[in-house]
Amino acid sequence: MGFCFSTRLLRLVWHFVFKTLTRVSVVFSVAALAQAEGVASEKTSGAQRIIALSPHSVELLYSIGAGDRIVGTTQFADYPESANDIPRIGGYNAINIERVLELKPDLIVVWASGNPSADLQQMKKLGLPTYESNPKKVDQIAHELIQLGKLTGLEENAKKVASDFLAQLNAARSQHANKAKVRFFYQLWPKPLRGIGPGSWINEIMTICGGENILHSGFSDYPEINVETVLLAKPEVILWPDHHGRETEKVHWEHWPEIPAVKNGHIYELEGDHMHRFTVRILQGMNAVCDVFEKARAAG
Amino acid sequence: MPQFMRAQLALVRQPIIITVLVALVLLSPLLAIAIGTAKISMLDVLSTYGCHLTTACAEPDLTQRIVWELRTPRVLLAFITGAGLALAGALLQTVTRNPLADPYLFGVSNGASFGAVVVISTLGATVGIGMVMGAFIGSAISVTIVMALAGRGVQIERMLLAGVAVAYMFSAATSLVLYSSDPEVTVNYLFWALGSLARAEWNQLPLPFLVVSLGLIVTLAFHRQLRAVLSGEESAQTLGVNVSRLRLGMLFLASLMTATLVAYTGGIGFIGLMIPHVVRRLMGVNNAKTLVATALLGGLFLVWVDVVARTLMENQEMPVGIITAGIGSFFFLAVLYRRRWIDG
Amino acid sequence: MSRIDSDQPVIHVQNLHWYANGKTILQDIDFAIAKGQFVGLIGPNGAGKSSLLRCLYRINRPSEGQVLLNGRDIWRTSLKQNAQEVAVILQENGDYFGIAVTDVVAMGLTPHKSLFSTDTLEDKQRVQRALDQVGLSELADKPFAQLSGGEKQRVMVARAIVQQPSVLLMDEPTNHLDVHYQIEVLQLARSLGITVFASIHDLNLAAAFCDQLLLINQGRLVSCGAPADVLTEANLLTHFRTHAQVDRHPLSGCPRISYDYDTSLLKD
Repeated sequence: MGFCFSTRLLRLVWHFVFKTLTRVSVVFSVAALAQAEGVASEKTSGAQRIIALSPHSVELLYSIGAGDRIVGTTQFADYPESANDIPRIGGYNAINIERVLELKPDLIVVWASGNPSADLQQMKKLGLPTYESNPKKVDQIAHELIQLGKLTGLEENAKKVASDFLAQLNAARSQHANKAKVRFFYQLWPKPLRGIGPGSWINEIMTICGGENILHSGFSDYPEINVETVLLAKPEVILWPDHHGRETEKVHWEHWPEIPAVKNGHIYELEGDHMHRFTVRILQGMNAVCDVFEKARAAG
Repeated sequence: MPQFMRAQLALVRQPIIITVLVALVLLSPLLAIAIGTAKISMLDVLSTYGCHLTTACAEPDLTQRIVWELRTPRVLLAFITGAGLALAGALLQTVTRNPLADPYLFGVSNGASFGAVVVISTLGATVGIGMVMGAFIGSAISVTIVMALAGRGVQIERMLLAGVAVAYMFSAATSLVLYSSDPEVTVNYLFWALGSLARAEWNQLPLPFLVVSLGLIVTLAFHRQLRAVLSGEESAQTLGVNVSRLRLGMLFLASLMTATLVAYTGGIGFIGLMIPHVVRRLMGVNNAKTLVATALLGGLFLVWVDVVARTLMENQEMPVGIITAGIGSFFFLAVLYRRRWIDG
Repeated sequence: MSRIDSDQPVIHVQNLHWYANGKTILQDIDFAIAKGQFVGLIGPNGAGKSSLLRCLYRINRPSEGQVLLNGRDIWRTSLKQNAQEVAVILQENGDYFGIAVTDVVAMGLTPHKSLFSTDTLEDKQRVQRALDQVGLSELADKPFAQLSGGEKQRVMVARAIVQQPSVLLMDEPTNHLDVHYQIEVLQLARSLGITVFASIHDLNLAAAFCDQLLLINQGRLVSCGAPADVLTEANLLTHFRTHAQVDRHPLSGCPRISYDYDTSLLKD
């Protein structure tokens, strides 16, 4: 491979680090980014024209009742249904700043892991009222809800949604805290085979349900692995997310009855968006995972 | 040691080197198969083959299954891929008489990457016949453009310039596809582009095996013509070699090999550049023996690089393309430092 | 148009014209070379010597006319068949990728071997004999690129010997060589006893080694015949724009040219 390779590699790494972060690839966030500050860069009271530059912030705004105030968003914000009608002003690789200015927003919810950093800097330079929403832990979703509530003047609503969320989360935690651990393998992508490491967002959900990741250590949070590793680790459950209806290749786990999950039929497909988005829908994903683990425990 | 003495030794060494290489080629796979996540001994490996040879493997145990179904196809794919990439590099270097020629220099690999990314973004597939077709069509397009621009008599300088231009063109097209597709595609492309042999399965071996065998057979058939080309275009012509046709044929052969292997294993680089260079240093001249040795050493090299790739980190694969590119670039820096120039 | 007459010409060039990029490089060339003759091609720079040789070794395709080798049009035979009859030694040699001398010589086997064939014992002996013949046996394993210019040309002669041709074409084989090697290379070529057609820069050398000379200028054959008939004071003045005196070489009896170095005479 010649000299072209190094530049291509560089470009790919660049893509990898800066550009790949929405929807499923939320989970690939590698940059350690400052947590949401919880302070709008400009004093606003009850924002009425909001630009939400991430799928999760759109969902969070809808869940506190501010969905109809969103005037612009990015490519993959598709939930709830009505979010599809919001005008798009950019994707993961670029934000159209002129459109942002045209929309005269009084609040822009930005997402450092998913928006191009150059565009964010420019928006800050232009003095636009930005708020950074970038949750990394499940509990932070409640915090995000309350911050957005404050910014939109819907604090009461937000507090209620947030405390409901936390209550369900903690209930699940205590319910599964003392149960037998279930060894699981979460198959992020089939070919090349990739899983999740202990530092990942999805792993936290699994842990709440009493799961024990077979990939307990690793160089990256979303490593490429081989079938042999899974064979030797003998997981009791194998899970994978759907990919928005996209046909993916299958790993033929059925060839390996040596794996308990295969022998006992504990192989499940989960709704990807429930697992990979930082919203209250994570509870649905969590419940699905907890149910699966319960079944595995019941089977023995 | 003066250079000519080294070269004299090289010729004498040839039979010894070939013998050593063949021995390593016979032994390495067994050793390589015994290394990996699961603790498996050479004895287990041998017993697995014993039971498969005697068809007594009705109910193989897990170790035997790992040896037979996971590690054996993987080691074989590594060998085939390494051999094919090294041979493709040697062919291109010979017909262009440029020791730095490799599939990347003619846009072949960029064309293959573009074909692959189109397949990934439209079908979501990262292996299989779709990828091979995509990669091959992409590389065939780039070769066709390069040859069309090569001018009368297929001039090397024009070919190289056209190759660079085509490489950039396809690189831009690849970026465009990535830019306009969703992040999942980008990440999948990235993992594919870093190269991996972890996906090897028995049913994926026939095509790479056939293509690389074809490459080796054609190379051996034309070994005299390939050597004659080294004396220069006109000089080879006076020896009865149709240089333009030979060059065209070998360029297509090298593209076919590269595209097929790239489609199955992704971006595994530097083998086509490094291995022929090492063989020339060890064995001196370019003849049938050297070409066979190039293929063998390329195969061996990738078998062992892949052992490193799968054992370097616990629970994790190291992309094999990162290792080959790393070794390759350090190798060339070392050669340049020692010699301050690269010759044959 | 003058001719070298012969009963059975090995090379017969008939009414040859060659155009390149809209320019006429060679026109109306007509000559024949008899078996076993050593024929020299002379002419001033840019006369078309290399172009003519290229027409003979099947690189330049004649625009008009034809080149017959043993009575057959060379463009109606395959490259390979042609290479079995004609060996060529070029002016310049590439660096050959560090290839060893013996492998360069073995290249001469190429037109005689089929696909996949390896070198037989007989082939190896033939290569060895050719190296002996040019006196380079001791350098057999040395990289070709490291030889001196004279040694390289002798290696190319050895390659030509292995090729077993009936005709040897040489394009300025003595270029860049010192006197010793110039004489040596031409003597070697002569000693092969086959038909040789060579362009030679040095007119005294051409006079000494060639049975016949062809003089071309501006793409036309202007004179041919025995060296004494071609290398006349009039021809030297007309075609080489040089005043000279031609007499007999005291040792060989060949024509000897002594140039007049008074530059004031050169003005047109």
